[in-house]
Amino acid sequence: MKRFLQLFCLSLLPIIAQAEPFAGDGEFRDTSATHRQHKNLLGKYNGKQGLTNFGVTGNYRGMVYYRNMDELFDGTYSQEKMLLSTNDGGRQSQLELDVVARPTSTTSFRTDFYLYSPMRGAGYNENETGLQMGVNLDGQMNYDNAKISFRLGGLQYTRLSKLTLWASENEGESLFERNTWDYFQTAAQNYESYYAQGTIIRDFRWGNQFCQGLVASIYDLPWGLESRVIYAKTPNNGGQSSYLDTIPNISYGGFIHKKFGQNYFGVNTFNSVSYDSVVNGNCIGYNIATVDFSLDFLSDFNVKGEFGYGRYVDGETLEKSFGEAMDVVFLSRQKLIGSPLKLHVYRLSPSFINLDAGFNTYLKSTAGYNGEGGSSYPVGANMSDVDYINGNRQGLDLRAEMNFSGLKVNLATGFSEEIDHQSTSVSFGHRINGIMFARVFAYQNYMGPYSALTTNYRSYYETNPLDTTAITSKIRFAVTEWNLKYKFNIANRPFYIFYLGSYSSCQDQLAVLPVLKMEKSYMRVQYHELETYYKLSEKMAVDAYFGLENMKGSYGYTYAQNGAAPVLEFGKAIGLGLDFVLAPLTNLYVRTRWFDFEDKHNDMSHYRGFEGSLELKAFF
Amino acid sequence: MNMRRLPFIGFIASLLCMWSCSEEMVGPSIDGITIDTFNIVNSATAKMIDADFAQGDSIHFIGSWEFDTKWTITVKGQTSGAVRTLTGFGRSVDESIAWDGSADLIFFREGETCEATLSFESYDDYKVADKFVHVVSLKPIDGIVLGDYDEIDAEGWGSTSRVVEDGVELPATQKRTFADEGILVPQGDNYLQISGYEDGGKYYLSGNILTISEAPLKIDTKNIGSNYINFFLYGYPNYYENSTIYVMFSDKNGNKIGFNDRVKITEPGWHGISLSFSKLKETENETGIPFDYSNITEAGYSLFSVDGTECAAKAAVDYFIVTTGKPLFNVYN
Amino acid sequence: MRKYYLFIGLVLLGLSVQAQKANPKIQFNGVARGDMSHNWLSSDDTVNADQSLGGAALVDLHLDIRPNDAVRIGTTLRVKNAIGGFWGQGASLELREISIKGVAAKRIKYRFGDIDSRMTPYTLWNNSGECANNEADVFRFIREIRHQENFNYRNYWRNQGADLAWRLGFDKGMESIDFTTFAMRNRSLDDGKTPDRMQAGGNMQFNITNHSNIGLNYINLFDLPKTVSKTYYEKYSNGVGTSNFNFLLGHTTAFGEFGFSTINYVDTSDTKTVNTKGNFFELGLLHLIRQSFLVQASFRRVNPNFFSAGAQSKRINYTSDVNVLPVVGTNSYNRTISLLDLITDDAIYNQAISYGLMDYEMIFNNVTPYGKATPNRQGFDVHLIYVGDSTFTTEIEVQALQDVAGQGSEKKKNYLLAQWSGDVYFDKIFGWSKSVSLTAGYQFASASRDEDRVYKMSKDLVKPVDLHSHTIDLGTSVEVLNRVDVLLGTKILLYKGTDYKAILNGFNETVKYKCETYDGSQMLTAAGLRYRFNDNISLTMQYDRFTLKDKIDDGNSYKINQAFLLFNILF
Repeated sequence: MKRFLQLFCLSLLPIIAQAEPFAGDGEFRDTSATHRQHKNLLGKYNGKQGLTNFGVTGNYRGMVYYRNMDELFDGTYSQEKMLLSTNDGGRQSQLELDVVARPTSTTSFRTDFYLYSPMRGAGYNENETGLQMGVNLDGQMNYDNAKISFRLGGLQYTRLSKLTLWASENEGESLFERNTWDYFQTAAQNYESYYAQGTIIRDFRWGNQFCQGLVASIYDLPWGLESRVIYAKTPNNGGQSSYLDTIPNISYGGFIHKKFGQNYFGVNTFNSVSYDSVVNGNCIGYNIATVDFSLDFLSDFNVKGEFGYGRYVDGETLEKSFGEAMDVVFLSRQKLIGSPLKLHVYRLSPSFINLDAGFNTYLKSTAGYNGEGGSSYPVGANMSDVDYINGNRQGLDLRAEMNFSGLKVNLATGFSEEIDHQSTSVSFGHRINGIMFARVFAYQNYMGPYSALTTNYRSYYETNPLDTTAITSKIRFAVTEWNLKYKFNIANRPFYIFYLGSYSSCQDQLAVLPVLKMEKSYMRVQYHELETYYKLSEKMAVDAYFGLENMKGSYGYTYAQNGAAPVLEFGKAIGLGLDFVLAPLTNLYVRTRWFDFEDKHNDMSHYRGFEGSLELKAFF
Repeated sequence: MNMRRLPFIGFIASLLCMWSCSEEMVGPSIDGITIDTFNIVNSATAKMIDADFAQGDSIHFIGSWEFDTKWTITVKGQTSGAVRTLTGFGRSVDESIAWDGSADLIFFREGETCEATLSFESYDDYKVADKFVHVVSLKPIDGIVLGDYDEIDAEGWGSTSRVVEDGVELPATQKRTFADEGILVPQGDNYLQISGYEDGGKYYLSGNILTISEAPLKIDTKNIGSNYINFFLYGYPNYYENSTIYVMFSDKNGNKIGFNDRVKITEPGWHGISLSFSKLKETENETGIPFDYSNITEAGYSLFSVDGTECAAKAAVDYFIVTTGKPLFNVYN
Repeated sequence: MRKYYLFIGLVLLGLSVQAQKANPKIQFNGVARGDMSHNWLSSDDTVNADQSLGGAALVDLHLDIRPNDAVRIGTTLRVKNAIGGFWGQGASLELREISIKGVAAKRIKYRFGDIDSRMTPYTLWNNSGECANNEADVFRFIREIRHQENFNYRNYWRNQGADLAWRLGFDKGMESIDFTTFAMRNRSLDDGKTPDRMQAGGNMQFNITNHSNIGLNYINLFDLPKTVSKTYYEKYSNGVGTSNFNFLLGHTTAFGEFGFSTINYVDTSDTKTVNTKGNFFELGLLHLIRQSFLVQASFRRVNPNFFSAGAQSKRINYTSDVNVLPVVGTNSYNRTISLLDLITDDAIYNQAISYGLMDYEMIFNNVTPYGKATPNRQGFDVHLIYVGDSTFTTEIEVQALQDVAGQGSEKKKNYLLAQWSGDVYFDKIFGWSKSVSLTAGYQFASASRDEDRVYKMSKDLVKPVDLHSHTIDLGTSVEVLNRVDVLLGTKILLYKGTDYKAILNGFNETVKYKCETYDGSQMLTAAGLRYRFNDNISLTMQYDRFTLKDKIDDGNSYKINQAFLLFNILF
């Protein structure tokens, strides 16, 4: 009996030793003893070693945003009120987490999450979470004669060439406004960078278009070749919710470059294709093919350009149209004026359609092309900055950078004309209060008291009809920009002054410089932005901003929408700010702005108010 | 025998034994017809549907089955035993198949419950609708009732030779109900049994005077063929072959017309008889004046044997009605 | 004795220390997958909407959390975004599974949450999907993704509930007794009218020796009437009880299982309207010859009224709508599930135990649509496997069966299901450095029944049963460059004949037989290029072409082309 009890107790030892992993959970012995080896590449991961190369980074952006719209148009808009919020109308997130994992040295995946609490008092029920960039999977294949690096998923940023797949790079930008994607800077670091290098720290998105799908880069090929292949959706492939539509709408393309030293020669193609609504549908969309190059010559000079040809198939009529495009930049690094001088020549046929390229495709109307590109983009004759080139144009611009004892001057001037006179309206942006206004009215078309305003991402523009009986020939444009940067010390601390101004006009005659007189122009637009930044201490910088814009339409040529008088608009803004480094990788930003806008010819077109934000941003 | 093999032998034997165990067939026969649905659609929820046929109500059916074949929907009165059959060909019926309260022969009764059944000509499968019809009212028949043995009685008469059953003489005429003989009553609660013994005289055995309450009965001579005398006639199993009915009418002048061929009874059970007035010939005219169809003052019928051979004759009649335009039953030829 | 106890204690301590080193507190595993696919009908289809394009990128992050040595918590979170949904549109964050398991008082194993369970092929068993007999690698790894998505791990059913397991050891008589008991929730609609449904049961296995055991199994799918208001009280239950055994006799193992099933139903007026009883048995022998050949022969008889929800539920729901290009053919009809969908379509997979016999596709397998537990079958099953060396493997299985009771006829159907599969590894045979393999599989399924009765009306002969199908799988994988494989495969299904499918009510009673006649073929051919980062990570580009030919009505024929890219990371 004793022996039985002893052995019985022994048998009550743990069925599985505590330290061993569980195996065959709930598995019972088969009545049939037959079995097959379960051969597969993707067996269950139970019992596998865990992921070790795994990291989470991100940032916290706590914000209090205040806005008080004292006056807004005719007083009937609900936005004429005070607003207190935890976001400034941009990306709604307080905590952004980026998860990157590397199962092997050649593969990785990443995803992001955002978490946001609107803090409206209703508790956790209103908190939001989701993805922004989404899941991306990366892989790299290494061979002796090639390395292939690819990413599958989305969102991801990429580019091919300026006329195929690119995003506009607008050099002139105010530094005063805060952006959600701004990375950590020590106090005044960005201003120093802007002064010293002419650039601000921009993230990987600069110049790149975003897409979802497959992007593969192939490099280290023989004969100095490198290539990129894209098979992905851009937002112009059916919109930002195109996953709901199963009809194929996809972009594909790529380039092959032959490199020789710093120079290269390449061919590019980009195709955005879909099918019309007919069963067994017809292929519609656009196909682009270009050649591009970059060549240094005579040690100081460089020419970089691209020539292309495109075909567009209309979804309604199935009509095909063809157009050419050219974009060439000549650069003298020093020899000609002792500092960089760029000459940019371009021609974009009105039939050269590519909504994903680095220029603003010419839009006759908001109908866009096969339902894409119409809303939120400037329509008609667009008066834009020097670097923002438009379709249905040919022109040239010149940009020079000079340094006069620390006063850095970046001057640009350009003129252009329509290739075919097709425009029945003129459009121009409102830069001074653009970001603020786009927060108030997000993604709206032809709104406002005169149905002239369209808001986009962090900007808005106005469209005024042209008198088509008076304007019967090509419209010409001229624009001049000047960007001044100066730095000096106050109490041994750097003080920066930045000035960005531009003046543009559109008229019937070709003019090298913008036309100043009303009777000779259809529309004149000017912007002036003066910013000062003073680094008070290692941890603090104070900021100030003054902006002014003025738009003048000419009688007999332009008028505000709905038969109103040609515009005479003034937009103003005064801003004050503070940047404070609270802790390593943690900054506090304060921004305030008083804004005012009025059209002296059209009463209802005015607004006035104040906005301010307190932003605490921490990176980890 | 190697005893070690015994378990294996037993194992195999039990397998074979179990193999041979048979079980009865699963499911319906594959050569039948499977009915998916059949029902009355007048109401989605009510199990008993009121039908006011006099007000124009009609009962609609819906059904579907496995394949195209000849189908029959039979509506049967649970009290009267009346039947209405609807037939067609196909694999479904839709709401266009309807019943208006009419009957094939015996009339439905107001207040009774009726049941509908779907069946097929060559298959045993059938389905009874799980909803029933309560007859609130029936469409009145357009005609002149001469005798129904409920509201309108008629005077009967008979010969002296009587039929004897189980030692009891049957009267020449007697009103009968369902309880008396277990025979369904075609209309109302009563029918008239008529009988008599043919002793070779070829004379009428019994008969009845029909009541012309709307005096005189007028028959439009321009369309004499579209006027009918309709009545139910019952053939008793052992008597029908010996029994015939003679129908006659008299005008105000005493002239008579009648159906000389006499109505024969082809098989036992109730029959609906419709005789066109054009088939009634003059049997007696002492005045020389043609029969006055617009002044018919008397009507009647008699039971005769078939050919005067000695026999017992018996029949039953109910619901004499004169209709204009169309007969109530198939026209007797 | 003292030394004996000391020895055991030291061994356990050593194991415990070893385990601490190997297992951190939280371990991350999972799957990351990105795919893009383009489907289009052949150009001669001018009637139907004929293109579709889609894709998604996802990460399934599995956390294995060990707060201590006795408890493990497992959960899988999924982050997914659809290709074409920008800035979070079409994105989802899901909880795929969560469960806890552990050992209580060092004696009782427990699990709670999303758990996988199985018992025997007649009680709780997830039968493999159709047309998966040794298919080519180019199809197999795509089908595996379907299995992952639907938690089809071998023959386990994924359920939500709890289970316990413990063992009693003995010194004499037998080695041990294993106990398992479980309870899972099958349905909970919370609509006040439909009662909750549970599935519960247990198993007791008497381990006489290492190789001999007797088991008792019981499982019941039943309603809880009190979860609804009294007006709607009704109770369904399907109970199955079996006993199974394995006995090693020399080199031969005798095995078997037998049992019964009941279906009971009490309706809302508290009247018992259904009371069906069934039974089955299986007896067999397994013999290993020269360590290379495995031979198994068995006989089974499954009564027509044997119903076991846990064993007869199917992995594929044949009443589902297909996802890709659903309307095809000049008849513009909604196409049914085909070979292509079995491999590529998640939407047709079923994860729930069904209380009634599910619909099946006769042309795929009309012999054992519900696996071994298919009711109304009796006959022999012979299985031969060659597992000799690593250069090739082959196996063949033949099932010769017959109805236990005629179906709509006094005559019984005869069935034959023959399956053969083989793999050849040329690199191992010839000593090549790069892998080259060939896989093949063949299935013949047939049902036959002569008939001499006639239809009452037409006097035509009732159609005899003569439906047969051939499924051929052929594939090759050739490593052309280091870690780059060319994958080729084809899957052919040929079918012709007539059979009668039973149309059942909710209690598996046959209400009619529907005569179905087939004559056609399906062919799926694929070519792919795969780069293997390692055994668990691959990038594949593949083109599939699927053709369905209906010789009875050509308007139902169609072709689908599919091109896709798949990047799969298992970690």
